[in-house]
Amino acid sequence: MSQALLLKPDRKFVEDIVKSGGGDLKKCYQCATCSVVCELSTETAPFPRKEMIWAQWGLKDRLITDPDIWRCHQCNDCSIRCPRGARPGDVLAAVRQKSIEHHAFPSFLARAVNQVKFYPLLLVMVPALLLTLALVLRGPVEAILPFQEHGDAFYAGVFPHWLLIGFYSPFTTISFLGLLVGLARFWRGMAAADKEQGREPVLGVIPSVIRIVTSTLVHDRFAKCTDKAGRRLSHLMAFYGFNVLFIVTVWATIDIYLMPLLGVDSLYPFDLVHPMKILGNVGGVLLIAGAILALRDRLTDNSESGFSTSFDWTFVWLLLLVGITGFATEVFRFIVDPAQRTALEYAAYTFYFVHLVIVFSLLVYLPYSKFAHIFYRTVALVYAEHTGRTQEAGRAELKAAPEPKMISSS
Amino acid sequence: MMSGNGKQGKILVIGGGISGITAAVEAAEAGQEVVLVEKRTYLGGRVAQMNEYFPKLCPPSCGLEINLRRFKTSPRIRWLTLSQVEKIAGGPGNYHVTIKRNPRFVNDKCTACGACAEVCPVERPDEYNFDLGFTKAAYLPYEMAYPSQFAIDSAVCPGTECGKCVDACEYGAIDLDMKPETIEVDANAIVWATGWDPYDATDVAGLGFGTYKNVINNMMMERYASVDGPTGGKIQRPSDQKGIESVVFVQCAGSRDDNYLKHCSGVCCMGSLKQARYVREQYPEADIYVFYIDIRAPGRFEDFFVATKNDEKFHLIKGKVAKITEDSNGDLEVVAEDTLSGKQVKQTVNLVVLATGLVPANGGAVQIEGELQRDEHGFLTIEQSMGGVFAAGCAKRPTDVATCVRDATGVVAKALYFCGE
Repeated sequence: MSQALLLKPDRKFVEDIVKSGGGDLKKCYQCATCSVVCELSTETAPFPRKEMIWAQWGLKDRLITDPDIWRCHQCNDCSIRCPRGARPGDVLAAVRQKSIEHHAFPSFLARAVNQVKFYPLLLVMVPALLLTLALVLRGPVEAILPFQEHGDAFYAGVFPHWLLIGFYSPFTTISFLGLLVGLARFWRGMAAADKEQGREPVLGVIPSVIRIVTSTLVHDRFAKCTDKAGRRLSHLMAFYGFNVLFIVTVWATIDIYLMPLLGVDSLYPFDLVHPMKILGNVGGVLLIAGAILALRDRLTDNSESGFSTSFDWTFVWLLLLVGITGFATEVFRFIVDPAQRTALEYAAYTFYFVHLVIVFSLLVYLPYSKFAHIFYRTVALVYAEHTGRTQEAGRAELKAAPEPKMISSS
Repeated sequence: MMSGNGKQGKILVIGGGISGITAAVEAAEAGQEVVLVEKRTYLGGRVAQMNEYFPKLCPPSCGLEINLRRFKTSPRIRWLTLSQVEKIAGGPGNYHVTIKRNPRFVNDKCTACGACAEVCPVERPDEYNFDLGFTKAAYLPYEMAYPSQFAIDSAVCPGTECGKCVDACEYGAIDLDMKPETIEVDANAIVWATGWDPYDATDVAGLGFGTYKNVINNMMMERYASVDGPTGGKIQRPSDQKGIESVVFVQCAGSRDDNYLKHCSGVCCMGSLKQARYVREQYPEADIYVFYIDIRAPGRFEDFFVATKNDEKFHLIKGKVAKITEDSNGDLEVVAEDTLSGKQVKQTVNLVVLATGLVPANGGAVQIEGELQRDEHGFLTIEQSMGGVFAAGCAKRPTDVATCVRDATGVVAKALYFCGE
């Protein structure tokens, strides 16, 4: 029999979702066409029909701890077929943003970073000032702690590696710790919601991680979104582009600082034919191409691609800009003759400075921006595997506690 | 002899379905002359295609018969089948109407003996049975058709070069040289009772109508269930003529959908509940599944709804069917989310009936001064700006038979106003 259910609607949350791209959510009349149309929906926990009514009712707690919202890639198959134009795909995108903002630590930063009015301050001025401060303080620090500079004297002369590492390491570490706090909150939230429903883990966390990471590497879930093959491709390019660049950056640091400790000469800066250099350039091209394709998709076909908010735009533009300024920096190093200092040299430094500012904006604000989706999505999907929310595990669960397949009226 | 308000005028009724027939008899009994124009070969319209009415489950010959009897015996009604209004000139109280009457190729001497059809060498899709079968080119529209006369379909008839039917007819009732005629009529007021067509679900994504043979619509179901239907009243699968063990009714098939038919027709829910009874009567063991978003069974219909769902092999699933696939046996798997349990439902059945809605019938273009006003769904608004022109029944909004009858009666009262001096 049905139990009394106390609903605590959060009207502010409904308004937030409406503002973040879910403006049509009230049109939904719960026919569940969306849950059937979606190729990523599951038999035991179909979505996004239930999310639509939770959003209408302002059931914030259920939505932000709902792993199913992270199955969605906003291909908008559901929105196209929706008989009411309620655009479930866009509502889920808005809910994901709210989930990130809710769990992020510290939460005031999440709320601030995603407001366009704070962009000039947080995305530009703060990193630029901090970086300038670091450059100004370089002399005094070097006087106390003499650093041996490595490699190319051109950029390293102005932005020495020790300075950059010393600058970025604490910020990204703090940011990463914030991310971990957010993800832990998210996991606990999901677990608490499931505890109420008596759902038990069915697969270890490690195997779950392996399953999801393998699946993410080939984007096989994304491939099921029927009408958006192009979107999967751009996402794959940006995904691999960024990750390759990240690996190359880490390798460069190892090469500069760890290799000499092992008695191996540092090869930095790498030759154009060095494998790491080739990998880096390929990564850069992939990142830029992926970002451009993603922007084109969002710009040309807004109704089918889904509603894009500043949350989406900012992330894609930052990826594109970090790629472009990165390449510009690289190119200038080859065209500027260090022996004959010209205006080009200052242009080179400027590009590098801008590049460093964007890297800061991307990495340090990662836990609060759309960038966080890579972690939240992974955690949600791992959790879903772990608790048997997916189709196969769901079938087993049905055996244990058979649900009536058809609900006959009573 | 005068009756009614003592004034006499003439009312043109466009459409010979239940609304048009009702309007005609009411106007005639109020003392007016009536001309009724029907584009088909017979009167009775969509109601004549029904097996039973809801909620009483009596045959439509009942209500239709009563009004047709009033109609036939009225001295003031003139009616034209195979006819369409082409032009309306003039204004309220004084309309001049041009009607094109297409040839039936059969005159009033016809006794409906059927000798012509026996010799007729060509066939045509039986549109009365929604193309589920064929008739000869010389055909009686259906068993109980009024007028009870054969007609010859010029689209397939080879004409005088064949002429077998002319020789076969003992009564001299066939004239293959009949030509279209133009008929002029003056009228004080016009009642627009052009009715409805079943929504064509071919384009509705995922449902497979027109692709999967065993996906039919609710009007086809009426024909299957009718004793004068293509199977003599046996409900069966179109693909292999087998009986059925399970059937799904898909409510709102294209209806209430911004992508297809935006409006709710308000009668398809009761239609499916009624058809569930047809299935139960023929197949006591069959499982009947109705997938719905909301069930519309207002007022006295609720009793019918409750009685139907008390059947233990009748299953209601709240969730719209968005995907149907066919297997090699011709069975169909329908997929929906049961929104009450939050689980996906996949149900394999022998037959799927789409509860498609009602769309305003496209009766062909009429030349008229001023534009006919329609609502956002294409239905006519009750009063037209030219004055003296009124919509009745399903031309105005999708509704059930009883409402059409009441509505047509009410509309005549408005039309009478224009029938004075």
